[in-house]
Amino acid sequence: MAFTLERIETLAPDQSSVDAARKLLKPNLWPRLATDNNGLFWGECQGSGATPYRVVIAEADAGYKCTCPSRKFPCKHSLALMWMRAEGKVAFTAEDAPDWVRDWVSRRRGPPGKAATATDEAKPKASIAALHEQPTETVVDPKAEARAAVIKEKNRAEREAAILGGLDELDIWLSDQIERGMAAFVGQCTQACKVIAQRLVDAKAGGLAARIEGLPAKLFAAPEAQRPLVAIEELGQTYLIAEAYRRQDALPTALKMDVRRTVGWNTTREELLADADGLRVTASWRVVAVLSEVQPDRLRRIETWLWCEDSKVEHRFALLLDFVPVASGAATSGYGVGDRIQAEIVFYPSASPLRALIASVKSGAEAADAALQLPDRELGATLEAYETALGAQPWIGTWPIAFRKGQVRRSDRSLFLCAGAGSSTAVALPIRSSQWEIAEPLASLNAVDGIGLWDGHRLTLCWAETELGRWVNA
Amino acid sequence: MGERMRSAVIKTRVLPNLIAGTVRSPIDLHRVFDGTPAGSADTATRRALSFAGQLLRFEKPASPGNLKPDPVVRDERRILPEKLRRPLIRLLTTSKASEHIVLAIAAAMDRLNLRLHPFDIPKLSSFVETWAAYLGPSAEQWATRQGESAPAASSFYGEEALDDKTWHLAAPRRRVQYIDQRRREDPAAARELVAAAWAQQDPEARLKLLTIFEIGLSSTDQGFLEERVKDRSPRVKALAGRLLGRLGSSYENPALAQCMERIRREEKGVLRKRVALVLELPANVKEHTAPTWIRELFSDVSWQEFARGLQIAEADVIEAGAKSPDLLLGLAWMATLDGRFDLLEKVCQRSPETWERMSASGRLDLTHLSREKRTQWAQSLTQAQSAKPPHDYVAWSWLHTTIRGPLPTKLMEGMLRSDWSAGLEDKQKAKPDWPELLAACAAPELRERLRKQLGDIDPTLTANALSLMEILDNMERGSE
Repeated sequence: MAFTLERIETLAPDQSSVDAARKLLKPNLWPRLATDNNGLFWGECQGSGATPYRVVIAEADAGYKCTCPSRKFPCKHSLALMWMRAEGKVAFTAEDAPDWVRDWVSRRRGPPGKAATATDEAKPKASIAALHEQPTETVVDPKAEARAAVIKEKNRAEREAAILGGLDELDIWLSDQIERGMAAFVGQCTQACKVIAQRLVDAKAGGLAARIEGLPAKLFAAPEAQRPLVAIEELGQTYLIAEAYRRQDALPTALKMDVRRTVGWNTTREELLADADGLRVTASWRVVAVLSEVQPDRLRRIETWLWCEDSKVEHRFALLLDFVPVASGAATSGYGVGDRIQAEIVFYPSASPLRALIASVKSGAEAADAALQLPDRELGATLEAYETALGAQPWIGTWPIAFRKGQVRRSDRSLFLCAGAGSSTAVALPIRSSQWEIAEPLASLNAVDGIGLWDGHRLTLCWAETELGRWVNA
Repeated sequence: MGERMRSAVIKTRVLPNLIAGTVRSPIDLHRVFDGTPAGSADTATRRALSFAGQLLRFEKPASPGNLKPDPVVRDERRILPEKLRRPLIRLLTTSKASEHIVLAIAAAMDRLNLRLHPFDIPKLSSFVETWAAYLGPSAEQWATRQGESAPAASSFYGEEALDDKTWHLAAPRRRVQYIDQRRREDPAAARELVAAAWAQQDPEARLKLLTIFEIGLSSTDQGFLEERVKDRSPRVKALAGRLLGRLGSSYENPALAQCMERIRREEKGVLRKRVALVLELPANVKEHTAPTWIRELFSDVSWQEFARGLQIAEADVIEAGAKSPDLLLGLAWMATLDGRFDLLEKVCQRSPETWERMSASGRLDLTHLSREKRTQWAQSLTQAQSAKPPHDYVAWSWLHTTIRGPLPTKLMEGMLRSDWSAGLEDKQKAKPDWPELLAACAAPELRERLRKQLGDIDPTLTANALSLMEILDNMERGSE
């Protein structure tokens, strides 16, 4: 990923960080600037203390690390180093990465790119003491392993029992809400949801708890008249998930994994990468949307939506999810809308595969101007594909759709995405109100091809190829 | 049917009960499930909830039926080159650019007949709302649209599409431009057009339209102007009075009478008596408020009627007031508002600091003048100081805001020769004001020179200035 000023501005937590970074562009503030000529750049920046801050950045995925105590991420030193690299006015000395750089590379969880693989052979030591340690063979203690396995199994069984207990409490809570009625539930949903969410957290069903905790926000986002119906939809799905969890052994493996993840069981990154049977797609991917949202737990959820440019691939959308503390100020992933990545993507096992991880990057992200080659499918047919996915996994949330020959049209203040003239289906998907202003120029165009995210109620337009060029939600 | 339920049954027998609450209106489970459902009643009810939820998920949203495209606005301007879109958005949104940068961009887009890319208009909403008149019909339509409904295209026309029947429907600035053009071609016809649409114009538009009557002013306009003297707006009334004063009509301008009360006339000289005029300020007007007071006193008086009132030749007025700096300032205002830039230059030769004193009295609107005329005015005003211009930020800022374009080359050259950047970085709170203002004021041929000078300054103070010059250069290059 070549750094550009636009990308640096996107990465920066705020404008003052950009301004502060600009002040650090003077080469005399950097006693050392170096590169391994393989996408890694590092330097030492003289701050107010006696010791310079050590800064390292990775071009492949806009990764960064600085030893300064700033709570902003990326800090001004990282931004300044990226900036100097982007401008190309300052010379970076070519040399081998020092220990502190190799240490960072070895510990980071980002996509292993060229830079990371290059250092795999000589894994750095995490500390000076470790440098003096002689490599020793790991001694396997079968008894200890067996003990650990027993404890792990015991913990798992206890958690399964706790979750099932929590689901029983959920059943009672649901019956209470049904008795009271959804119209009444809407009025006191915040408190009601909070109570059962806490019980589910205690029962170690964190995923389900988060889903219920987020329900009031969903209800209040809907028009008032629609709220009882949205409540029925959401609570009905919650019951469906609970029932599916109880009967998980009868479900196909992929759906079972969906259910368990939805309830709260995690698939770790390592497990996913180690899964030889996992769905993997190596292709050219385009970033079509980057969305971020602050969750009730003060974590920012950053969604990076990818579109596969290879038309032979069945699953053409992938979703990368990142969670960062709100306090860090970071609001975007390292990728910008429009970027192209050559990468191997591994999908989480699912009946409707969507969430994924980057297993390996063949070439770092580059900004690309080429138009997307979207399948020749109108909006009606796209929605049928959405219904198929919904049939396979009935509680899917936001689902990406790609369409051709759509039209953005107005009804009073609201904007809708409609099937184009001559289409056999009369579909009109309401566009999210937060996009009405930015999507307004599309309403006078004859046809748009594009990509959006449909949650069953509102469409978030992400990308549109139009006669006036590309429109993106950014 | 077993436990499968028809959607019609769910809609009629399940949804209403779930909304109202099953305590008040229980669900008829036997009927809904076509028999006795498996499990307890509570379980069956929860299952009914789940089925209802799934049915709703598969429902497509209802189409509102009255879907329409937004009207297409005819906008003949060229869309801004693709490579300038991002830098422009960055400069105008995230970089805290000064008002001079924003003004320079808007004025350049107007001068070069450029418009924003339609997709960028919402991203630059505050810029578009402020400078819509400079950005073309599509921006004007966007800025004036009503939030409650679809934008209307009927009130907006490309400049060439206006005619005598439709001119009054256009945006105010275009209305004024049209009448300006008609006034130059046929003063009488323009007067009739304005008279016919006068009642529908707001005070600001009336003032602007009346200002145009300075072009081709003749005795045939007298009747129309006498009507305007009765206008509700004091500013329109005063302007009509000033125009009548220039015609030498019998109209008694109250502003002239006020002015005369403050002029002391003396005769000096031993061998040859000559008239000497002094402007006497009231005791409660202090030095810092004097420029504003003088402007108010002289703004509604024309040079001709002032000379007539004093019974001296128009050409002798400057000589007569040469010893009174306050009177010279008043004369500068009259010369400016009458468009007599030859007289303004003479006043400024007598009193070089006129520019700074005029700037101390607040904003000046000369948008009714053409770009060339405004530049000519600035030349006349600053000629006396162009070799060694003052480093007075307020005066420079005022001048740029008034002429809305590059400042006279001589003046800028004088500034670039001076040590304008001395001490810029030494201040405790260094600001990018000067670099940004000079970048906005520099004519294209001087930008390279300014760029070199900015290269020696802290980049945090010059980033926006350099970015502006880059954008302007590219805009101009694309328009060649």
